[in-house]
Amino acid sequence: MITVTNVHKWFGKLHVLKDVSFKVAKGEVIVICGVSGSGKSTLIRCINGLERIQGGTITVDSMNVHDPKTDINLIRKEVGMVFQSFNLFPHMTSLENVTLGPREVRKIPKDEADRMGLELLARVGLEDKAHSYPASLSGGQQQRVAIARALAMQPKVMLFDEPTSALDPEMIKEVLDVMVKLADDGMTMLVVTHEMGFARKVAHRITFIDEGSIVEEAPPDVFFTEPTQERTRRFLEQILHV
Amino acid sequence: MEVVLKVTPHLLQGIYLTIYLSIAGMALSLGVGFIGGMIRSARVPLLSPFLGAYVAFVRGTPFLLVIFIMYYVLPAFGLRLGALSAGVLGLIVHEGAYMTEIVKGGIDAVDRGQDEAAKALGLTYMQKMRHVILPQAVRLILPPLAGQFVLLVKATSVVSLIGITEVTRVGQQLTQRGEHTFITFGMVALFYFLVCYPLVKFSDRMERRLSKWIETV
Ligand SMILES: Nc1ncnc2c1ncn2[C@@H]1O[C@H](COP(=O)(O)OP(=O)(O)O)[C@@H](O)[C@H]1O
Ligand SMILES: [Mg+2]
Repeated sequence: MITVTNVHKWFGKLHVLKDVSFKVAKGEVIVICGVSGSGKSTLIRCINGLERIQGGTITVDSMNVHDPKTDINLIRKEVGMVFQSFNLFPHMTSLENVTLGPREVRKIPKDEADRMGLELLARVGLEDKAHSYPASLSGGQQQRVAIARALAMQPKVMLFDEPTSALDPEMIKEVLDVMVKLADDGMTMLVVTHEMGFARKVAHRITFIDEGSIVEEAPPDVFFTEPTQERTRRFLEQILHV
Repeated sequence: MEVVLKVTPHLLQGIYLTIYLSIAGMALSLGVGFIGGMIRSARVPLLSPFLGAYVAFVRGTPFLLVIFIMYYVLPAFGLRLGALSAGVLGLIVHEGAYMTEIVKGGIDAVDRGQDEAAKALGLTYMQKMRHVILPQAVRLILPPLAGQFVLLVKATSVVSLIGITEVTRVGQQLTQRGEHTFITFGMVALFYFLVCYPLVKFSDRMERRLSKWIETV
């Protein structure tokens, strides 16, 4: 579904991604972790073309993301993205946030888009907030609307960039529950997170990035119990407080 | 009272021209501002720097000189405009530059995450602007825009210098013919005040509403 091959990314002189390669197969859930500034956000932003790359190739559903001949919006239609800071459109209600993409990009008529939008809001437990504006929702509710907005495009892959990092602790679970349900439904997911409980429950593989390179990649049971790299062990000690 | 009745019909003719210049100037310079502001903030090669130079030029040139260029210099390049067209064009060139900066400022002030979320949905540039960026930018720029409209209305008095008998010019002519100076110019001033004051009030009110809106986001 996603192949990342020998990708290099610089911000000016800063070498942010160094020869990164990995694959995500259809239906897989991959968790990416690593310390702040290691390049996790940059990596997933390269996958839907929000950032350019300076070397290597990325393909999504066999389309080359960074080929100038590719219509990037064809890729973005298939790749949903959820941001750390939600980025809901503040001048639109929840339902309008959710239906904007389908109506504009997929040209679905309003009544049908509304019907689908309400279904999606119900799926994330927010049908009663359809006509509320983001400012009147809690962080957890906003992030669930943001997930519904991404799902409304019927993407083949979902990217999550630290979806619970900006949330108060008591709201993390409601968002993770939605994501677990999504994983159980077979969605292909690439999730940057430090929620190791989530990783243990649904990830097929955990990828540890440090200073722009993939250091370790393993299924959760192996990753937590017998990491091969010293750097991974140190990172795990930090985040698991052991 | 007699004076008032006598000068009013003349002033009304001038007022008509002032309003014409103001509305034409606003509508067209706003158009320039939105297109210019979108291009400036999109950082289009060549086009954006060119618009930057245009804005810098206008900012460093007295409005009267812009008018003179339209009326006296353009004919040398084969473009001969009537006084009214030259006046309107001057207003567009001048005000369009300020509107461009205001619109650019508004677009740039919209949170970057909005742009990214819109792109990630697969919206085209125009869809993104229309549905996500501009509705938010417009809220941000309404106060400075209303302020700029006030300046524009007052700037229309300058075009009298290429022979357009807008309201200030009419007032001057009337007093030169011996009409009461205080009353005549007082009525001209009252006209400007009646047009500009609501705009200023509107601008202030939007500013207050805006700060509330920003607080809640
Ligand atoms: N737009 C940018 N311009 C310059 N440097 C950037 C930009 N975005 C990120 N960086 C830098 O790239 C590195 C990786 O950032 P990021 O991918 O956000 O890390 P992470 O998400 O793992 O915390 C950091 O050193 C960060 O400062
Ligand atoms: Mg990050």
